[in-house]
Amino acid sequence: MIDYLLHRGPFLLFVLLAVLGTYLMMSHRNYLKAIVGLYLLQTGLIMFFITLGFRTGGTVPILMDGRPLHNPLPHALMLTAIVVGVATLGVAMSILRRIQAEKKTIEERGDGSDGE
Amino acid sequence: MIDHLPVLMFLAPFLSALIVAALGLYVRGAASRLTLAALTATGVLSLVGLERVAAAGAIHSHMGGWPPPIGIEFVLDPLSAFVAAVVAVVALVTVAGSMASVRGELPGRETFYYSCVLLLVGGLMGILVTGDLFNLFVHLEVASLSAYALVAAGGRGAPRAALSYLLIGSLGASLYLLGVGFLYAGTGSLNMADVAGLIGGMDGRLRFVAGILIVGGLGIKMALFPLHVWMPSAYERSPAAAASLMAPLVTKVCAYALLRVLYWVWGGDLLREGILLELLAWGGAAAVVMGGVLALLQTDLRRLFAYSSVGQMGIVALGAGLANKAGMTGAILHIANDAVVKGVLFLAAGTALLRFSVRNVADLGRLRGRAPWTAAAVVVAGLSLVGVPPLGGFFGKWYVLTAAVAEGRWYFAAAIVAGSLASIVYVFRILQQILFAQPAGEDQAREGPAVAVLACLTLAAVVVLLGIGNERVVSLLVAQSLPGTLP
Repeated sequence: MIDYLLHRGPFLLFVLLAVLGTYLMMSHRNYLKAIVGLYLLQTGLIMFFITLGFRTGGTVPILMDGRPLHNPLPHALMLTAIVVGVATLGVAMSILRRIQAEKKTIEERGDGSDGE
Repeated sequence: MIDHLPVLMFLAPFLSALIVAALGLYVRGAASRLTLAALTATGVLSLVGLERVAAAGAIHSHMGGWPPPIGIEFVLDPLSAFVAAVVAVVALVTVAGSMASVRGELPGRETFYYSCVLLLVGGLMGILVTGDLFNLFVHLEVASLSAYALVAAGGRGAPRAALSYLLIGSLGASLYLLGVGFLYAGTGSLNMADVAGLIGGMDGRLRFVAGILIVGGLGIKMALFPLHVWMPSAYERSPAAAASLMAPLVTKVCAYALLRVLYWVWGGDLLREGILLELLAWGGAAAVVMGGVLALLQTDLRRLFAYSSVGQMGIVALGAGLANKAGMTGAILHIANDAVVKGVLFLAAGTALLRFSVRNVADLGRLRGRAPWTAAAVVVAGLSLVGVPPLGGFFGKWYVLTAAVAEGRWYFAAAIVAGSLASIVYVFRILQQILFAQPAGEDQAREGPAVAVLACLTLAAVVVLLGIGNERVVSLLVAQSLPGTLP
């Protein structure tokens, strides 16, 4: 069991983060929580890609000492994905501030100003 | 030089966005002029690309000189050249046409508006020319993030619409990225042409999951029913100028991305064994019917047009899902048609809102006789939406209809007819108001700004040309862009 978890740990973490994140996004009443959910989902995805590049007994791809190398490509991809995630978070937060200024709340349906 | 054309088509708007953002803050009025210049350059480059590709075949451009599959590749093939030309022209015309209203609508924020516009167009061009699956994701997010910001710039209720768009859109992008991850795990490559060669040997279950994730993710982005929920509010609430740019282009380019990944990575043979095409065809048929029905129920003009787009994207999905030559031809034609038609309609809706303060279909009567040229353009676009024969919209529907009949799937043909009947009703509700209603109110407002009228008329002329010249468009441009493996 421990062995299994050690080998599958990163994948399980990805599943946990993705499911938790999606659940938060779907069940939100509070926009901030939904944004947190989105961020968890994106972090899970990053976890997933990094796991793809892992090789048992491998080493960092700049040490050429005969051992197998971890695949550096997913890391490079995920650098970009992290940037995309941070940019999304930034846009989301600034939109959230405008919602708060307009409706005085960050709940999904928590205002009396109009009945959307 | 010509080798770098795909890169230039992306860089022209993308780099200009940075220049506009930097310069526009210091020089008054520079932003709009620079934007026009950049979009003109993009348009010219795209048209040159279309001509070169038609004459001499696809143009491949390798980033940093690294050959694929190691390096990132930009490809301008007949399909991307055709869609890119449509996108660049529609972007130029709609941005030019809405220029006069931006000053009134977003005072003091023009610089930010124009840099977002250029980023959006840059992202869309990137989606069109890239030959790399991960690169597609990055361009998708560049375009989407600018779209979220543009929606949020609108008036009351816009930030909420923008945030739901952001949450749903980012979920779509994440699903797509996860699907790409599965493909990468199975094939070890991200270059589309390379993955296409390796995908046959991939584990079937992995491929299935990847397919579902990618279709779901891009389905959200292209507003395929029932994943369209973000679209009506986003385009209803966004600034009129932004809506007239986004509504014609964003969902269309995402539909292109789906066609590209399905037919150029999976390939027709593999697709026909799986259920992805069935999913797409049924989703498309449901979208055609439900888009029409939901559009009937709308009172807000822009919301109505957004639901009509749901129906039109349904025709694209249905055409792609039928997987024969006629269906794909119809799908590609309809991407172009809906881009142009929605350009006219959203520009006209912007004029109605800003000049006449008309939001709802029921108040359109106020425009009667006051804006004859805009009305003429709306009549042409509306009739094309219904599918009246000599106009562009007819041929897209016709090809998909013949494809459905050729496959013996009469129920899909029936769905297209039902959607068209619904569109007759909602289009004639609009036409009846602007042509025959008793004008109410005493306001003396006239035709919208000259550029907006000109833009509407230009796009309406394109709608007519796409219809009258349809045979040439299909034989010269669309026929070459079909994937090779279709029956």
